Order: sequence, then C-alpha cells, then structure tokens
Amino acid sequence: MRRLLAEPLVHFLGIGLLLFVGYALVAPADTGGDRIVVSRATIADLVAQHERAVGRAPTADELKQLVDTRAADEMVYREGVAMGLDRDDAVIKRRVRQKYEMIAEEAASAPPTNAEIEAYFAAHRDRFTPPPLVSFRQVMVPPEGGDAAIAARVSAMKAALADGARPELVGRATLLPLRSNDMAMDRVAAEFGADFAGALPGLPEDSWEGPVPSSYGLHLVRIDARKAAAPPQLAAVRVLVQREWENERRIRARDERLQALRERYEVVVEAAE
Amino acid sequence: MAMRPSILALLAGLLLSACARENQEATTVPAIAPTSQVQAKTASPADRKAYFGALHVHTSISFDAFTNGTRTMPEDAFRWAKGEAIEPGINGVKTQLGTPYDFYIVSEHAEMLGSFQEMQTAGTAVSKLPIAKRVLSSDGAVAAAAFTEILRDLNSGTLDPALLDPKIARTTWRSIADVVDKYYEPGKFTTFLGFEWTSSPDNENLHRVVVFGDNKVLPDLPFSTQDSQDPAALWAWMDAQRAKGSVLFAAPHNGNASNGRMFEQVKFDGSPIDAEWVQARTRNEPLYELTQIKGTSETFPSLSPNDEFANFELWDFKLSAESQRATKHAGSYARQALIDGLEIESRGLGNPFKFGFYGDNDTHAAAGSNEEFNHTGKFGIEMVPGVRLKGLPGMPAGQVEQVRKFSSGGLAGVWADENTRPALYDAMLRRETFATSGTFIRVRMFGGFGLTEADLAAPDFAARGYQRGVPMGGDLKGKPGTTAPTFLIRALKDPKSANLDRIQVVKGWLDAAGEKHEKVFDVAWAGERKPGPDGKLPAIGNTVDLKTATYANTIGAAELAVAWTDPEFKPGERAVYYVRVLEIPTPRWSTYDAVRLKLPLPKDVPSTIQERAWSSPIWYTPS
Repeated sequence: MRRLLAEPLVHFLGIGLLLFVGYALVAPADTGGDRIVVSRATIADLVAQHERAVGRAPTADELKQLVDTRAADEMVYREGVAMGLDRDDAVIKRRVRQKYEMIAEEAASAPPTNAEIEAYFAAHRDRFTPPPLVSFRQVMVPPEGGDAAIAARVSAMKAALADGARPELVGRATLLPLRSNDMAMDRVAAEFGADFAGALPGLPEDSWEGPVPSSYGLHLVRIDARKAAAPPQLAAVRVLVQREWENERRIRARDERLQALRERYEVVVEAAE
Repeated sequence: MAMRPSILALLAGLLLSACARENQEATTVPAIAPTSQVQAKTASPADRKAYFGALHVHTSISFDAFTNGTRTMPEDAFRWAKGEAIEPGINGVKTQLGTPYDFYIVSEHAEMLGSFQEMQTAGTAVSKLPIAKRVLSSDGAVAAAAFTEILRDLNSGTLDPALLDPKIARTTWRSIADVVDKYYEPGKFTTFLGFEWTSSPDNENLHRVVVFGDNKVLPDLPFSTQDSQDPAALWAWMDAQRAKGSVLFAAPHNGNASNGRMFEQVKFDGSPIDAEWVQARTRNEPLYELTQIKGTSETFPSLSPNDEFANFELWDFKLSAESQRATKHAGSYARQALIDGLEIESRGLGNPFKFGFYGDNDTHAAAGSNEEFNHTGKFGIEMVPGVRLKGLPGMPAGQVEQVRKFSSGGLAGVWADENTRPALYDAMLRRETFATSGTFIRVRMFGGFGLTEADLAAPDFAARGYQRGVPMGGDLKGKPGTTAPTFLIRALKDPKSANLDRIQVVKGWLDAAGEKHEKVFDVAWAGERKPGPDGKLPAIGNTVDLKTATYANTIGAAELAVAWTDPEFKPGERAVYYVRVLEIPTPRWSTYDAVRLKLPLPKDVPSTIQERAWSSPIWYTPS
C-alpha cells in the first residue's frame, strides 16, 4: 500500500522538475536584459494573423498597434518571469511539457537503416511469424438430457461418423460453420471461443474426437490438416517491420527523454508531518 | 497551501493510473502476420463470415477529442483495434480490447481538421490564438469549457476563420490516409479512411460519417460543414467525387440528438422532398449507424408504446455540451423512418429511408469502448473512471449527466466474403450488415416465400436462404397470389459474453387506408416460457449481483433459431421487417465502475442492461 501511494507522488514531483528544466531548454535565448527585438519574422506572423482574422492586411496604424502590443507582452512577460509567476502555474508547465515532448519526437524522425531493420526483425521474429493454420470440421452434440444421455449420444454420434455418416446430418444445426479451411488460430478463437481454440492443438488428425466444450456447448471435432507457420522472410515483411520499428521509436522517444531526466535528477519526497 | 482543483485532478489521475497499472495483467502484444497470410475468399455466399469492427472513430486530430484530453493518433487507433494496449488520454491510464476487431476506421471531423494538433507547435498561427491556451490547459474543466464554446460556434456557423486553415487540413488529411494504408493487411485486418461531416444547425444533429471503400482516388479535402450544412450539398459533393473515381458512401448517426430533423420529410430549406432528393439520399446513404456512445436511436418509448424494450440506452439531448433536452422525438428515430419510408414510396417518390443498420463507437480517444466491463468513455478525460461517473471538478452538472448517460459503444457486424476492403465495402452497400450494442452477437436472417422449418434445420440453411430468398438488407417482391413470407433466423451469443434471452421480429407496415403500423413479435426464446394473455413473453430473469457487478449464464441460451412466418401478412400492404436479439441482463458500465470505485450506483441510469443485436431490414413490396 505504501508503495502504491508513494509511486504517483514520485511521478508527480518528477514531472514538476522536468517542466522546470524543459522550460529552461526551450526559452528563447534573447529574453534577458532590457532590449526587446520584434523581428521581421514576428512582424510577418502578426500581419498573417491579422489577414486571417480580418480578411485584409493591417493598416500602418494597426500594425504599429500590433507591434506595440507584442513588445508590451514581452516586457510584462519578462517581469513576470523575474517575479517567479511562472513557477507554480500548472497551465504554463503543461504547455512547456508539450513543446518539449514535440521536440523530442521530432528529433527522432529519420528512417531506419538496413542494419536497424535487420536487428529489429531478428529480435522480434516471433511477431512476424504467421499463426499456424488449421482445417477442421465440427458438429454440435444436442444438449438435451442428463450426463448419461449425453455420453450415450456422443458415443452414438462418433460411431456413426466413424462409419462414414455425413457430418452435416449428425448433430444439431448451428450458425457455427461445419467446415473451416486454413483458419488462423486467432480467428478460431474469435468464432468458437478461446476454450475451443485451446483444445484443437491437442487433438489427433483425421478422426472424430471430443466432446470439446465451448461456450456454445459440446462439439465433436475432426482435424483435417494443420499447416505450421513458415519462418518469415525479411523481404516479405519488410514494410511491416519498418512500420513496427517506427511506431516503437515514436512511443519510446518520450519515455526515454523522461527516463534520462529521472536519472539526472534526485527526487526528494518529504514525509507527511 | 490549499491545492487547486486542477492539481488535485492531476494527482487523482496519477494515483488512479498507478492503481490501474498495478491491477492490469501482463499486456500481450499480438502477432503481426505478413500480408500474404490471407484467409481465402469464400466460394459461395453461404460461407460468408461475420466480421466485426467500427466505422466511426476519432483521435486527437479531431477538435473535440483534443479539447477533451485525448492525445492519441491514428496509429494508436489501429494498434488498439488489433489488440494492443494504448494510452489514449493525458492521464496515464491504459486500455486494451478483450476481443480485437476485424476492421477499423479513422474518421476525424472535417471541420478544423488538424488545427488543434497544430496548437502544440510553437510559432504557428493557431498556437497563438487566445483559445489555444485554454485548449491546452492542464485543467480538464478549462479545456472542456473551451470545447463547449467551440462546439457552440461550430453549430452556429461562427467559428474563428483562423481555425479553418486549409493548408493544415490538407496535410493532415494526407497523413491520415498514409497511416490508414500502412495498417491495411488484406485478409487479416482491414482499415478504412473516413471523415465526419459535422452539421448540427441549432444543435440539431445531422452528422454523417463518410466512408471510403479504397484510397486510390481521394478528394483533396473532405467536405465540411463550412462548405454547407445541407445534407443534399454533401450528396452532390459525393456524387462529384464518385464521378472522379472515388469510392464512398455516407452514414448518418444520432438521429436521437437531431430533435426531429434526421428523418424529416422536407428538404433542408423546408421545401417538399421530390424523387431526385430521394434518389440522392438512397444513392449515398445505404446504412444508418443505429447505436453508439451518444445513445441508441432505434426507437423511443413514446413512439413505440407497446415495445417494452424501447427504453434502451437513450441519450435524450440535443447535440451540445450544455445539456439541452430534445423536445421532439418524431423524425429522430430509425424505426419510424423505415415505416415513413414505406408511405413516401407509396406516393411514387421512392423510399428515402431504405437503409441497413450497423452499430458503432464514436470514440474520441482512438480506442473504442464496446465492452461494458472495459468501458473507457468517449473522450480522453473519461479514461479515469471517477470522471465518467462524477465529472471533473468545475464541470457543470448537466454535462456530467450527459457523460454518465453515454452508452458504451456498439459494433458493426458485416457478412462478407473475406476480410478485405472490397469485400466489406460491397457487403455494406448491399446492407448485409447488423448492429450490436457492443457484444459480438452474430445474427443471420433470410426472408423468402416457401422457406420452411426444414430449411432452417438443414446444414446448408444459408445456401438455401440465398437460393430461395434474400439475406438481411434485401427486397422481397410480391407476385399475384403471394403467400406470407417466412424468415429463417439464427443468432449466436458472443463466446465471451452473456447468453441470449430471445429473438424478436419488428414489423412495420402501411395498411390499405395508408395508416402506418408497427408490431414487435417474440419469435424464439430461451427456457420454458409461455406468452401471457397480453401476448407478452415473461422476462427471462436477472442473475446480476449488483454488489460485485457479476452475472451468471445460468439462464438464457447460447444459440436461438426460428423459421417464422408472418401471421398477419397481407399481400397488398408494403412492409418492412428486422430482427432484434436480446441478451440476458448484464451490468451496465456505470455499475462496473461504481463497484470498482466503491461508489453508490448512479440513480439516473439503469444498473443492468440487455445487450442486443439488430439485423438490417428486409422490405416487402406488393406486386
């Protein structure tokens, strides 16, 4: 329980510290001193904003007003920062964190090299291996009666099937398919439920087996064929490998940046009084 | 020093996220099969499979998702649908599906596309707008208030033009399309590109999701409500895109929030509808999204007083974050529209409301939320269960009630030849689709003349259905001497969810005098129940334990089936039939949440619900 409570507090304080550092990193370099430069780029931005909002370029007076406002903003901002007004403002901290994370994610946008692709593929070969396929037939055991009646019915149905009876004429009708060809195991689980899918690998081939239970009832099952997964070839899955590599980097970029900061900072959590 | 609400909320979020992680089982990462590993296309329609997914999904690119604490991108949406855990909000809570989907879409709002994302980039024009600071506020209530304002401006057509930069929208649109293509794995997982046209004049919802069948020819930009609020203008734009080679349809949703306008029988400007308008609507809108987070719009108790199950996950508001109640229900709900359509057709104008059904999500967090036990709300902020039940500090009470009355989303079911874009898209166009309120119920229906009990029991029942009848979404045409049609219906429970209570057939018809009627027939049910003198089947019972939010499958059936012949059929009367399948009662998401948080059960929402599936209709037209 103590650990549970402590962890988010550590987390929380860590984020707070990160925000201070993040702010220092992204703050413009020329904010110090008593000189304020309203750059050509800033003025072009002000003009563009005005055009968008009003539908025409600002007049000379309007532009002067915009520039004066921008300069005043900067003056008041500097004084405010000097007074420490930014320090306990959650809105400012959140904004800085978002900017910081954007920078971290943008820094990591180069495509992977061949070596990186190959290494990623080698390390995650299992994820690019297709699931095994199974072809099977199933019939459902009518559920009426007690255990003994059902056991007798199962025996009779199996005997009939062993004798060559057409499976579609044995058992009860159902919306579940009688025959499934080359079905991936995850698809079997989706259609028949996990219990049923879990039982298939243990069944011998070419004979009617069971009963196999599922959330629909009892099934007799005949495995007709199994196809093991062929080892994946990089050439065939390269696009997928790159997609996975890029996604992992996208997610990881932020986490790593934060982790590096956590390692640099000492976090002291004061105990409650 | 007293902590401000925003910091408390942040702390609470972090605490909860730590608890959630603690309780979470090890996250599984699903395997990624190469695209060559496709399921073979079925040889005959009888072998079609039911594929499940969603056609209405937003990520943080949508303005309202961004303002409500969502940070996920289209990549995250597809990864989640394939079964991975993702973190949709800014609160650190993860979510993962119990049963992964077969197909998924990203369909952002066309309006302000990408602008809110762009606010995060320092130096851009939108990042400097006054609203940007509030949108980016870490205080969820401040951001939610900004959302309320923007939604109001959007609905009244007074948006700040600075939020509507086509350059940003164009770049965003292309980048979404690229991600959609990157995640398409034919035969295994299908992705669609879409967008939402967000017209809601006076907060009356006329929204449509536009779905693209492939990405070969795409418009430069989606059509937005800035272009027009009139659905007919959207259809004209769609016709023009089709002429250029695009493959697309539109599906309206949330008639319940339209205050009578979704299925009104006049044009947008109030003038009478004509055959041309009807054709444009049916050509562009084959499907209707029947149920989603913002409620179910099958029917309303006052419209269907004899339907004891009409009171299901209703969200009786206009489309506004300011909790305005709907004042009109006629013209808002699908069942009445189906029946109105018969009457309009009888006047020789064609049937403007000839649509199939699907269920959906409308998540604004990339991760949908069809599972009650796994409900994660509509927006990023609702990832924290306390927020779903009680709102954020400072949130108006009416808005909190709207969130509590959100439904966990529904699902789209599609009977398709294979899991590919063309196969799923074709199935949607022929309306061989069904809606569920969230569970993976499979329902199949065929209607035809001369189908029998023996056909239902036959192992090749589906083949007989296709040969001698039509599947859901189809048309039956009367001939001289036509006898009553028979419907072969089968429903299978979700293997992970509750048993089935009953199958119902909902019939609407137009009598010889031109009067409109509806009736709900109980046609198959679990257990030894007998209809009472009033014709109503007794309730199945309720196994839900409200203290633990659990239920038992000790009642109900795993599968139900029936061959049903309409006992009241009159060959000269236009009719429409659809199937509704009910599960036994299970806990509503709010009950799961309240039990987990040890809070009292909320009183303004039901504690248990009967999840359900609705087939697309079959229409009967006299000779």
